Amino acid sequence: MHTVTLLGLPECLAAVDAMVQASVDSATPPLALAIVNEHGELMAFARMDGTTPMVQHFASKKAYTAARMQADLKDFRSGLEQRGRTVADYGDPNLVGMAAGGVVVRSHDGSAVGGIGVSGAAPDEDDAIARIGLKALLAQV
Amino acid sequence: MQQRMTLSLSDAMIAIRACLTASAEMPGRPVAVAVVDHCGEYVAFVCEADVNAALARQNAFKKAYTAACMRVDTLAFGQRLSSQGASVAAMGNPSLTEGGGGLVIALGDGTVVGGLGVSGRPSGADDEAIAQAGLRALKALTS
Repeated sequence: MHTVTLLGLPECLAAVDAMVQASVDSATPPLALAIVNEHGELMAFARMDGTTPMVQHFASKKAYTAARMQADLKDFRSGLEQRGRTVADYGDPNLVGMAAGGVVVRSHDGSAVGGIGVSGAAPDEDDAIARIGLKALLAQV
Repeated sequence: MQQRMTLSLSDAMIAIRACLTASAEMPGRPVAVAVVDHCGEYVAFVCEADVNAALARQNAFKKAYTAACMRVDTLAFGQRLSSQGASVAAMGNPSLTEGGGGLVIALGDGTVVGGLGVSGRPSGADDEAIAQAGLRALKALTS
């Protein structure tokens, strides 16, 4: 037997609330927000009023990619480029190769427990909101 | 062109928080709660840690989707199918489901604006009770 750490609902809700508030405060376009566990399965999702259908899809895929690759999308993407690889080489149709708007969630011991995905605004805005979500999530645990 | 009302994220989060409160008041297996709009698309979703990995996530969505798209609560949908000798599988849409826990979100004039689905408890009656709590919280907004 061994022990695993699971992402919990209270911290996921806190992250969603913080990201929605940050989006409103900084007047970004409407966002879709997804939080997944270490397997890439959805733990929380929110789609702000007025998002496009494509945005909803990307938020979940970004979160999935960050969790599965255990890396922020920026680092995953630069690693691909350095090695001359593409995201298709992984053979997982749920992975995306975007460079912004996805961060890995790690527990205090450094193990990856999930991912946060944000889509709907400019890449740097998506990234900033995802990091606000990460900070709010970690503040709860 | 035409216009219609549909669910906002703020509405969805009100329902979700009410479901979570109801779930906490009747402790049991972890639940997943899904809220979809009038098209059956996710507006918001949450699940508790260690929720049943094989069933609860998918079923919470399927219940919300079924309620919104079939415009009928999932319990009544199942009863209607069985009274007709029909099966949900025969409808050819793998996102449709039956059994308690999926509720239509409608305005007072009958306009369907979304669906709410709860899954995770061994008993469909518990899923249904938690979902009903979510719908009650929306009453002031939909009536």
